[in-house]
Amino acid sequence: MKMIFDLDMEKCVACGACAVACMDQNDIWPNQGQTPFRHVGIVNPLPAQEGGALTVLSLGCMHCDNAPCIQACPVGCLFKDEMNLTVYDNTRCIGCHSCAMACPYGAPTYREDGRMYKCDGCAQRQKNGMVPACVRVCPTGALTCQSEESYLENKRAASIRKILQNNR
Amino acid sequence: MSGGFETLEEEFEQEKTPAGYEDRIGARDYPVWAALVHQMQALSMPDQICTGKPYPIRGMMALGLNHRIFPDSDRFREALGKLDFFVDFDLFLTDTAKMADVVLPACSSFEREEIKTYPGGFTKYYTPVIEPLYDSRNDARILQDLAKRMKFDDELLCGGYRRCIEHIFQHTGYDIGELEASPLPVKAKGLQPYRPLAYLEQGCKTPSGKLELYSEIIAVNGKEKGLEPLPKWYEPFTRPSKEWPFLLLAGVRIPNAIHTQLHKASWPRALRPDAMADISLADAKRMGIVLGDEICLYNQFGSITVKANPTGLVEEGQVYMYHGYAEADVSKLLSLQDTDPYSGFPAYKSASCNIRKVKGNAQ
Repeated sequence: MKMIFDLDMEKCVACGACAVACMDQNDIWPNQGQTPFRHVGIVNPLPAQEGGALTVLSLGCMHCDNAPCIQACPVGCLFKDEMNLTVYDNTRCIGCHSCAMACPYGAPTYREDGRMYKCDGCAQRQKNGMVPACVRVCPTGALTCQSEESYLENKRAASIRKILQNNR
Repeated sequence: MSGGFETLEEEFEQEKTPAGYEDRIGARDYPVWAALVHQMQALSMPDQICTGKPYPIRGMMALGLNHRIFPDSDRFREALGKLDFFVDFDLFLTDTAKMADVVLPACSSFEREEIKTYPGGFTKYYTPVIEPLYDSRNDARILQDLAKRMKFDDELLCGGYRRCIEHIFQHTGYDIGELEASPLPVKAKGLQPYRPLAYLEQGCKTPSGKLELYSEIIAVNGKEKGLEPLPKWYEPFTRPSKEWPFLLLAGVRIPNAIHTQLHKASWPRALRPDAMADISLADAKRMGIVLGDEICLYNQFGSITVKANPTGLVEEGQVYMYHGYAEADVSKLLSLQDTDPYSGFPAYKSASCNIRKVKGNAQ
């Protein structure tokens, strides 16, 4: 079943719980120089939008459909699993950073061993019937990981709600 | 009373008072505070330690004391250094704890029990998720053991947390065992629903029983200090001026640091690794400052160097600097003299400073 990560930006308050849960789940130690897989932030409006609204978001690997990191990797470390998550086996990683250069979201990180590490969508948790750590902890329900079917259904429902609201 | 029902919490605090209790630290400097709050006013502590007036202080036992949250933190640190004996409880070996003769490791809230009441008449008995790690202990347990070892004439304190809770909740109708067993908050029994304006029938907790605009408590206790019983407008201690054009807000919070407790905890710290000052987008543009530039915040009291974080959350002319950073202690930019004469609270949001760009962001 294809799984999709989604962030409802109207619900996200950038509390950082997802980022901390991710570090806990994946044993990431920033004080030892390791880079977290998920980041939260408050994004200022672009200079052209002076006075515009702030955006808050939580950003990790987007598990893109046509993931550019997979195409970029010269040794085939990255691949898609049965849930369409972008997973990896870094035993062959040569630390060339090609995946990082291809990724528009800055998802791949590197450690002292020179190898690439990234969000694997908590594939092991999901295979065992659990939701990803970041999703589980999100207090506002902004971050979800749902099947493509349910994602599309929710999206349609949201669009219909919007149309109805606008025509009220 | 926070749950909307009466407990004996306040009576419990006053159950046993040490000799000379009426002359608490700061009670003479802040008589209105002393009349309303059964605590010392810590802002007077550095002066009292250093001058020995009105009486000398030789020893201190502190629970989670952090000198960096006090204005003019260097003065506070200097005063702590003058004590003959200093015991500190803390989760972390902070710079304050390092000054102590004895540091007692307190466990985190996940490793201890705690009872809490919530508005609407609810009470929750939190039970520990794990046993305390290493040598750490529940701070209530440390107090209990100390009281026993020192043979305090205090049956409740020597009896421990559970004994104290049973005492405090004795008239509430709660069974503490039931509370402990319940995974959810429990509603108090026989709680009368809130009736609007009920306080007018019972009278307010003021000397006149009325809702006072003219405060009798201030009139009586603040007379010597010349405090006004009627609300009065006081000018801020410092207004942004030509020399110090920015309003410095030093009392704002980073949620993931929980005040200053988790500055050194790796995971929450990773959300904002550097000591940063938030400045407005307009000021940043005018001064040619971008994200990550090193800037110096300075005024007549001191200076700190931090990274800049221009953000749409801050108004033009303001600087938000978060407290408790060992490497950039904003309390050095605050004066111990600038306190509210009624409560003794420091002017965390009524200081001013200037900004100087030190170094551009190498990235």
